[in-house]
Amino acid sequence: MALLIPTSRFLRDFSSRPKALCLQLCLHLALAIFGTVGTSTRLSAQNALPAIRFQAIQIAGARNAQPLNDREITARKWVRGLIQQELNALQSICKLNPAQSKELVNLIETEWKSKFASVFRSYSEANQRGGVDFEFRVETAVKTWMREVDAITEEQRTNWNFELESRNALRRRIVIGKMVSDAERKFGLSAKQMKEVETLLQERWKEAWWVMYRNGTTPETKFAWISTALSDAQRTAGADTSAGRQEYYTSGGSTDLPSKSLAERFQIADVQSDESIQLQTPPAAPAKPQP
Amino acid sequence: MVSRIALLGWIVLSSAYNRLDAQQVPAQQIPAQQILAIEVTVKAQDPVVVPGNKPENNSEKPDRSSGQNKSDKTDKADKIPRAFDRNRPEPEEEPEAPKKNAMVNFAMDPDRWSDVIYSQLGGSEATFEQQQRRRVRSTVNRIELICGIDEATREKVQATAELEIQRFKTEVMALAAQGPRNPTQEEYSEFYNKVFKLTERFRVQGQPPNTKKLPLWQKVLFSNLSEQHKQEIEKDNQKRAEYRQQVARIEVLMRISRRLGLTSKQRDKLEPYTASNTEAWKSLDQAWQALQQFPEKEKREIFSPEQIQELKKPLEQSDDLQLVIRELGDDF
Repeated sequence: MALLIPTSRFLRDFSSRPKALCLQLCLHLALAIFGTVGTSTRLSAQNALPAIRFQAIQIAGARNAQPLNDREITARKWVRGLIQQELNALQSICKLNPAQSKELVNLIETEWKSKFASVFRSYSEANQRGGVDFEFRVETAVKTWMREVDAITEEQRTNWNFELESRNALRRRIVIGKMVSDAERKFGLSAKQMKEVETLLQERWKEAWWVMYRNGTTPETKFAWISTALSDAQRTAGADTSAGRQEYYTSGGSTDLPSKSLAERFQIADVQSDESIQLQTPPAAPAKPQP
Repeated sequence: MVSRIALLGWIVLSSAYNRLDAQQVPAQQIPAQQILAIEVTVKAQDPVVVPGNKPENNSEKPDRSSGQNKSDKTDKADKIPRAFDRNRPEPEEEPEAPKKNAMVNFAMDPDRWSDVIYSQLGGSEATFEQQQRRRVRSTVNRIELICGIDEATREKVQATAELEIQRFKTEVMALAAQGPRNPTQEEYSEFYNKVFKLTERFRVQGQPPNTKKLPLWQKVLFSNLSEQHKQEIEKDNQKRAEYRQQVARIEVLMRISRRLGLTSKQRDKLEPYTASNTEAWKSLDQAWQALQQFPEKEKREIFSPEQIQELKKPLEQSDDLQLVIRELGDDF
């Protein structure tokens, strides 16, 4: 009965104003369809999420249980070594109190592995050519962790940023120095011109140059960047790309990365990370059978 | 009238008979006039049948035979001995088989030896020429900025350099021609010593300039400069070398800083040491050893106790690929 009354009213109205009611009907239908679709998507997503979470836990668990290859273990040790050095430098510059130290160390011990998962993965791939810039990644991560610890004061953060800036200045000196030396050979620069070229390159500094340098390539000094410092004869002669430089890759050699055992805890001064945080020492890969 | 017709008929008949006869009679019986007529109609390119020869060889390939005549002429020209001709014909004699203890299983001809010699200078013959010309131009341009060079000197230097390039190329060809074809290890070493001696004067870059071993164009340039100009150039050379070395030292300092986790203040304290003992700061390993041998007092002034402990450890070895850059300074 309740259904029949609106239906009869609708039919009566429809006979008097067919066009307007047609539009109204279409609108209602569209809303009903959208509502149904939205609800069904929400419902399916709600059902799916726990399943995805469960799968992720399974994958993570399986990964933890997996024996790691030598390269991945080495990469983890290097990252831990670099983090520990950053913490030492942080203590020396910012003078953290025990509470600040404890919070920071706990945070790092909990997150370090997930934060560098992509770094370990890319390093453990056998086809890495130039290597991975561990130092830059660690530096960025420590900076992020410092932001997350509320107990660290603004002044301490500023001091640390100043330290990082001085580190960057040294990097700029090295990369630009390399580029100037390169330009000296290519264009036949005099000592005076080398200084001028250095100033020109300082103005054009890009962070990407350091990344390139760490990956084993000296960024190219473009002719257009330094042409104002060249004489007419030098400009006419152009660049000699083969001048007095030999580059080749060699396997092996001493590395400049510090290493820290996976079983040792991070510490700042005498403050160590909580015992409750599991170190999750990965099982080592089984030894290769002797032939 | 009848006699005229009879005469005409006889002429026609006799000429017809003659034609038939000419087709049938052997060559020996053909009259001289007719033989001449036949000889005139023979074209030059037609094959001439000579008894005893195989006519089909010539008749099948008339064009090639004419070409062969041409190539016979050029072959004669090619056979003029030219010791260093790159396009000379293949040797007629069989190449000798490689010895059992030969280094390579193919014959080392002069071309291959030339390539070996030029590879000692970092490329091919063309690369060598290009590099030398650029090097001269670049050096002259730089010196022009420092003390100025007149046009006559510039031309003289460039002409000398050009002559020197040509002379060197001749020397390379002469040496390559002497190269053993199937060298054993000993023969190769012996010959390589000769190659080393020959290329020595172009490989002195990166070492302190030795006037005896300088290329001729540099000697010419040097002789055309005044003492004051020479001093100015020397000073500029030193400044440029110092710049390059300083960059290399800072690079090592940065690596030490990464290894020990130095702060900016510590780096500032350590930097003067890099300038005082330049040899020790040429590589990471050398610098690490030098720091390990630092007096304890100085160590304590610069490093923290943790860093001093770290310094006692040896550097870790990595099997990663590492870029090695050999930077060869200009020797003038």
